[in-house]
Amino acid sequence: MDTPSPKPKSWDQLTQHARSAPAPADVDLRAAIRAEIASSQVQLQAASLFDDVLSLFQSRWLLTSFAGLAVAAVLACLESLDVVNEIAWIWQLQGPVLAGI
Amino acid sequence: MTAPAQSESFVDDDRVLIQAAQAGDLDAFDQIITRHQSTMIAMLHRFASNRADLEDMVQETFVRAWRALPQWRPDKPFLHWLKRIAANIGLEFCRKHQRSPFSRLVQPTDEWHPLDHIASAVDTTSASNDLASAQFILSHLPPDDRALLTLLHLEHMPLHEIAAHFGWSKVNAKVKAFRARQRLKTILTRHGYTLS
Repeated sequence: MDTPSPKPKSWDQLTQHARSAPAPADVDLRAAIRAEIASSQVQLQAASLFDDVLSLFQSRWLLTSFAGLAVAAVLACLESLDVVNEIAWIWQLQGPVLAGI
Repeated sequence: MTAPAQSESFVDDDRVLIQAAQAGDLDAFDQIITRHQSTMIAMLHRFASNRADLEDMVQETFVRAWRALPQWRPDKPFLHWLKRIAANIGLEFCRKHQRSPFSRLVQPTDEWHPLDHIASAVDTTSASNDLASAQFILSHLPPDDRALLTLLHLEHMPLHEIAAHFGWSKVNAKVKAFRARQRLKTILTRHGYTLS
Protein backbone atom coordinates (compact mmCIF):
# COMPACT_ATOMS: atom_id res chain seq x y z
CA MET A 1 0.00 0.00 0.00
CA ASP A 2 1.27 3.45 -0.85
CA THR A 3 2.04 5.68 2.05
CA PRO A 4 1.49 9.42 1.68
CA SER A 5 4.71 11.36 1.16
CA PRO A 6 5.78 13.52 4.10
CA LYS A 7 5.31 17.27 3.78
CA PRO A 8 8.61 18.86 2.72
CA LYS A 9 9.64 21.25 5.46
CA SER A 10 12.34 22.87 3.47
CA TRP A 11 13.19 23.76 -0.11
CA ASP A 12 15.93 21.14 -0.01
CA GLN A 13 13.44 18.48 0.97
CA LEU A 14 11.02 19.60 -1.71
CA THR A 15 13.68 19.51 -4.45
CA GLN A 16 15.06 16.21 -3.18
CA HIS A 17 11.62 14.70 -3.44
CA ALA A 18 11.00 16.43 -6.79
CA ARG A 19 14.17 14.92 -8.24
CA SER A 20 12.65 11.46 -7.88
CA ALA A 21 9.72 12.44 -10.12
CA PRO A 22 9.69 10.04 -13.06
CA ALA A 23 9.96 11.49 -16.55
CA PRO A 24 7.41 10.16 -19.06
CA ALA A 25 8.73 6.84 -20.32
CA ASP A 26 6.57 6.46 -23.43
CA VAL A 27 7.92 9.47 -25.31
CA ASP A 28 9.46 8.56 -28.66
CA LEU A 29 10.10 11.52 -30.89
CA ARG A 30 12.18 9.85 -33.61
CA ALA A 31 9.49 10.17 -36.27
CA ALA A 32 8.74 13.82 -35.39
CA ILE A 33 12.44 14.72 -35.36
CA ARG A 34 12.99 12.99 -38.70
CA ALA A 35 10.04 14.84 -40.25
CA GLU A 36 11.33 18.18 -38.91
CA ILE A 37 14.83 17.50 -40.26
CA ALA A 38 13.44 16.45 -43.66
CA SER A 39 11.33 19.62 -43.93
CA SER A 40 14.27 21.83 -42.97
CA GLN A 41 16.41 20.08 -45.61
CA VAL A 42 13.80 20.90 -48.31
CA GLN A 43 14.01 24.55 -47.24
CA LEU A 44 17.80 24.38 -47.41
CA GLN A 45 17.63 22.92 -50.93
CA ALA A 46 15.33 25.76 -52.04
CA ALA A 47 17.77 28.24 -50.55
CA SER A 48 20.68 26.59 -52.34
CA LEU A 49 18.80 26.78 -55.69
CA PHE A 50 18.32 30.51 -55.13
CA ASP A 51 22.03 30.80 -54.33
CA ASP A 52 22.86 29.03 -57.59
CA VAL A 53 20.73 31.47 -59.60
CA LEU A 54 22.30 34.37 -57.74
CA SER A 55 25.81 33.11 -58.41
CA LEU A 56 24.88 32.67 -62.09
CA PHE A 57 23.96 36.35 -62.25
CA GLN A 58 27.28 37.19 -60.66
CA SER A 59 29.21 35.43 -63.42
CA ARG A 60 31.13 37.71 -65.76
CA TRP A 61 30.06 36.21 -69.08
CA LEU A 62 26.36 36.65 -68.21
CA LEU A 63 26.87 40.27 -67.18
CA THR A 64 28.80 40.94 -70.40
CA SER A 65 25.96 39.43 -72.42
CA PHE A 66 23.41 41.61 -70.62
CA ALA A 67 25.57 44.71 -71.24
CA GLY A 68 25.79 43.79 -74.95
CA LEU A 69 22.03 43.37 -75.14
CA ALA A 70 21.52 46.75 -73.44
CA VAL A 71 23.86 48.49 -75.91
CA ALA A 72 22.08 46.81 -78.84
CA ALA A 73 18.71 47.96 -77.48
CA VAL A 74 19.93 51.57 -77.13
CA LEU A 75 21.29 51.55 -80.71
CA ALA A 76 18.02 50.16 -82.00
CA CYS A 77 16.13 52.93 -80.19
CA LEU A 78 18.41 55.60 -81.69
CA GLU A 79 17.85 54.13 -85.16
CA SER A 80 14.10 54.34 -84.76
CA LEU A 81 14.19 57.72 -83.00
CA ASP A 82 13.07 59.65 -86.11
CA VAL A 83 10.07 57.40 -86.56
CA VAL A 84 9.19 57.74 -82.90
CA ASN A 85 9.45 61.58 -83.09
CA GLU A 86 7.17 61.64 -86.11
CA ILE A 87 4.56 59.51 -84.38
CA ALA A 88 4.75 61.74 -81.31
CA TRP A 89 4.31 64.86 -83.44
CA ILE A 90 1.21 63.44 -85.18
CA TRP A 91 -0.18 62.45 -81.79
CA GLN A 92 0.34 65.99 -80.51
CA LEU A 93 -1.40 67.47 -83.56
CA GLN A 94 -4.33 65.16 -83.17
CA GLY A 95 -5.44 66.96 -80.01
CA PRO A 96 -5.95 70.50 -81.47
CA VAL A 97 -7.44 69.08 -84.69
CA LEU A 98 -9.98 67.07 -82.77
CA ALA A 99 -10.68 70.07 -80.54
CA GLY A 100 -11.30 72.21 -83.68
CA ILE A 101 -13.78 69.73 -85.00
CA MET B 1 32.65 -6.62 -18.86
CA THR B 2 33.29 -3.75 -16.46
CA ALA B 3 31.22 -0.59 -16.34
CA PRO B 4 33.98 1.78 -17.60
CA ALA B 5 34.67 -0.60 -20.50
CA GLN B 6 30.96 -0.59 -21.31
CA SER B 7 30.78 3.18 -21.28
CA GLU B 8 33.92 3.36 -23.43
CA SER B 9 32.37 1.10 -26.06
CA PHE B 10 29.18 3.19 -25.81
CA VAL B 11 31.22 6.30 -26.58
CA ASP B 12 32.98 4.53 -29.46
CA ASP B 13 29.63 3.45 -30.89
CA ASP B 14 28.45 7.04 -30.55
CA ARG B 15 31.46 8.21 -32.51
CA VAL B 16 30.79 5.79 -35.37
CA LEU B 17 27.13 6.77 -35.51
CA ILE B 18 27.90 10.49 -35.35
CA GLN B 19 30.42 10.24 -38.17
CA ALA B 20 27.79 8.46 -40.27
CA ALA B 21 25.21 11.11 -39.33
CA GLN B 22 27.68 13.86 -40.23
CA ALA B 23 27.82 12.31 -43.70
CA GLY B 24 24.02 12.72 -43.89
CA ASP B 25 22.90 9.27 -42.70
CA LEU B 26 19.53 9.86 -41.03
CA ASP B 27 19.25 6.23 -39.90
CA ALA B 28 22.45 6.64 -37.90
CA PHE B 29 21.00 9.80 -36.35
CA ASP B 30 17.86 7.81 -35.51
CA GLN B 31 20.05 5.46 -33.49
CA ILE B 32 21.71 8.40 -31.75
CA ILE B 33 18.26 9.66 -30.77
CA THR B 34 17.33 6.20 -29.45
CA ARG B 35 20.47 6.14 -27.30
CA HIS B 36 20.17 9.62 -25.82
CA GLN B 37 16.45 10.43 -25.93
CA SER B 38 15.72 9.25 -22.39
CA THR B 39 18.61 11.30 -20.94
CA MET B 40 17.35 14.42 -22.69
CA ILE B 41 13.77 13.78 -21.58
CA ALA B 42 14.91 13.32 -17.97
CA MET B 43 16.93 16.55 -18.08
CA LEU B 44 14.32 18.72 -19.80
CA HIS B 45 11.56 17.29 -17.61
CA ARG B 46 13.07 19.45 -14.83
CA PHE B 47 12.14 22.54 -16.83
CA ALA B 48 8.63 21.52 -17.84
CA SER B 49 6.56 18.63 -16.60
CA ASN B 50 3.88 19.52 -19.18
CA ARG B 51 4.14 16.82 -21.84
CA ALA B 52 3.64 19.08 -24.88
CA ASP B 53 6.33 21.52 -23.77
CA LEU B 54 8.67 18.67 -22.91
CA GLU B 55 8.23 17.03 -26.32
CA ASP B 56 8.80 20.36 -28.08
CA MET B 57 12.03 20.91 -26.16
CA VAL B 58 13.38 17.40 -26.76
CA GLN B 59 12.53 17.62 -30.46
CA GLU B 60 14.19 21.03 -30.77
CA THR B 61 17.30 19.69 -28.99
CA PHE B 62 17.81 16.91 -31.54
CA VAL B 63 16.93 19.07 -34.55
CA ARG B 64 19.52 21.63 -33.45
CA ALA B 65 22.00 18.85 -32.78
CA TRP B 66 21.49 17.58 -36.33
CA ARG B 67 22.11 21.06 -37.76
CA ALA B 68 25.17 21.57 -35.58
CA LEU B 69 26.63 18.08 -36.17
CA PRO B 70 29.29 19.36 -38.61
CA GLN B 71 30.68 21.48 -35.75
CA TRP B 72 30.98 18.55 -33.32
CA ARG B 73 34.56 17.40 -32.79
CA PRO B 74 35.43 13.86 -31.70
CA ASP B 75 37.61 15.14 -28.83
CA LYS B 76 34.48 16.37 -27.01
CA PRO B 77 32.05 13.93 -25.31
CA PHE B 78 28.89 13.84 -27.40
CA LEU B 79 26.50 13.63 -24.44
CA HIS B 80 28.06 16.71 -22.84
CA TRP B 81 27.69 18.55 -26.17
CA LEU B 82 24.07 17.44 -26.43
CA LYS B 83 23.36 18.53 -22.85
CA ARG B 84 24.73 21.95 -23.69
CA ILE B 85 22.15 22.30 -26.46
CA ALA B 86 19.41 21.04 -24.13
CA ALA B 87 20.44 23.44 -21.33
CA ASN B 88 20.20 26.38 -23.71
CA ILE B 89 16.81 25.23 -24.93
CA GLY B 90 15.77 25.07 -21.27
CA LEU B 91 16.98 28.63 -20.82
CA GLU B 92 15.00 29.74 -23.88
CA PHE B 93 11.94 28.00 -22.42
CA CYS B 94 12.39 29.98 -19.18
CA ARG B 95 12.61 33.21 -21.19
CA LYS B 96 9.48 32.40 -23.20
CA HIS B 97 7.47 31.31 -20.17
CA GLN B 98 8.51 34.01 -17.78
CA ARG B 99 5.76 34.72 -15.29
CA SER B 100 4.35 38.17 -15.85
CA PRO B 101 5.77 40.86 -13.56
CA PHE B 102 2.19 41.43 -12.37
CA SER B 103 2.14 38.04 -10.69
CA ARG B 104 5.12 39.08 -8.62
CA LEU B 105 3.50 42.38 -7.72
CA VAL B 106 0.58 40.69 -5.99
CA GLN B 107 0.87 41.73 -2.38
CA PRO B 108 0.51 38.90 0.11
CA THR B 109 -2.09 39.50 2.79
CA ASP B 110 -2.56 37.87 6.18
CA GLU B 111 -5.29 35.63 4.79
CA TRP B 112 -4.02 34.85 1.28
CA HIS B 113 -0.86 34.55 -0.79
CA PRO B 114 -0.51 33.48 -4.45
CA LEU B 115 1.82 30.65 -3.43
CA ASP B 116 -0.49 29.34 -0.71
CA HIS B 117 -1.82 26.49 -2.80
CA ILE B 118 1.65 24.93 -2.89
CA ALA B 119 1.81 24.44 0.86
CA SER B 120 -1.57 22.78 0.86
CA ALA B 121 -0.75 20.76 -2.22
CA VAL B 122 2.51 19.30 -0.98
CA ASP B 123 0.86 17.68 2.03
CA THR B 124 -0.36 14.65 0.09
CA THR B 125 1.48 14.87 -3.17
CA SER B 126 3.66 12.55 -5.11
CA ALA B 127 7.11 13.40 -6.39
CA SER B 128 5.57 14.68 -9.63
CA ASN B 129 3.50 17.23 -7.75
CA ASP B 130 6.56 18.27 -5.77
CA LEU B 131 8.36 18.80 -9.04
CA ALA B 132 5.46 20.91 -10.30
CA SER B 133 5.53 22.91 -7.06
CA ALA B 134 9.27 23.49 -7.29
CA GLN B 135 8.88 24.54 -10.94
CA PHE B 136 6.08 26.92 -9.98
CA ILE B 137 8.20 28.56 -7.29
CA LEU B 138 11.19 28.83 -9.65
CA SER B 139 8.99 30.37 -12.34
CA HIS B 140 8.79 33.53 -10.20
CA LEU B 141 12.50 34.13 -10.71
CA PRO B 142 14.10 35.89 -13.70
CA PRO B 143 14.76 33.42 -16.59
CA ASP B 144 18.53 33.12 -16.08
CA ASP B 145 18.09 32.46 -12.34
CA ARG B 146 15.32 29.99 -13.03
CA ALA B 147 17.36 28.01 -15.56
CA LEU B 148 20.41 28.05 -13.30
CA LEU B 149 18.55 26.86 -10.20
CA THR B 150 16.56 24.29 -12.18
CA LEU B 151 19.78 22.65 -13.28
CA LEU B 152 21.48 23.14 -9.91
CA HIS B 153 18.68 22.07 -7.58
CA LEU B 154 16.44 19.82 -9.68
CA GLU B 155 18.94 18.25 -12.09
CA HIS B 156 21.75 18.29 -9.49
CA MET B 157 24.19 19.43 -12.17
CA PRO B 158 27.54 20.72 -10.90
CA LEU B 159 27.93 24.49 -11.12
CA HIS B 160 31.05 24.30 -13.30
CA GLU B 161 29.11 22.19 -15.82
CA ILE B 162 26.24 24.70 -15.86
CA ALA B 163 28.77 27.49 -16.39
CA ALA B 164 30.25 25.59 -19.34
CA HIS B 165 26.82 25.01 -20.88
CA PHE B 166 25.79 28.66 -20.65
CA GLY B 167 29.22 30.02 -21.58
CA TRP B 168 29.80 31.71 -18.22
CA SER B 169 33.06 31.81 -16.30
CA LYS B 170 33.16 29.83 -13.05
CA VAL B 171 33.34 33.02 -10.98
CA ASN B 172 30.44 34.56 -12.88
CA ALA B 173 28.41 31.37 -12.37
CA LYS B 174 29.13 31.45 -8.61
CA VAL B 175 28.02 35.08 -8.38
CA LYS B 176 24.89 34.36 -10.43
CA ALA B 177 24.09 31.31 -8.27
CA PHE B 178 24.53 33.35 -5.06
CA ARG B 179 22.22 36.10 -6.32
CA ALA B 180 19.66 33.61 -7.63
CA ARG B 181 19.58 31.85 -4.25
CA GLN B 182 19.09 35.19 -2.50
CA ARG B 183 16.10 35.95 -4.73
CA LEU B 184 14.74 32.46 -4.20
CA LYS B 185 15.18 32.84 -0.44
CA THR B 186 13.02 35.96 -0.50
CA ILE B 187 10.21 34.07 -2.22
CA LEU B 188 10.58 31.01 -0.01
CA THR B 189 10.77 32.79 3.35
CA ARG B 190 7.67 34.76 2.42
CA HIS B 191 5.96 31.45 2.11
CA GLY B 192 7.36 29.62 5.10
CA TYR B 193 9.98 27.49 3.41
CA THR B 194 13.57 27.34 4.56
CA LEU B 195 16.61 27.35 2.31
CA SER B 196 19.75 25.99 3.90
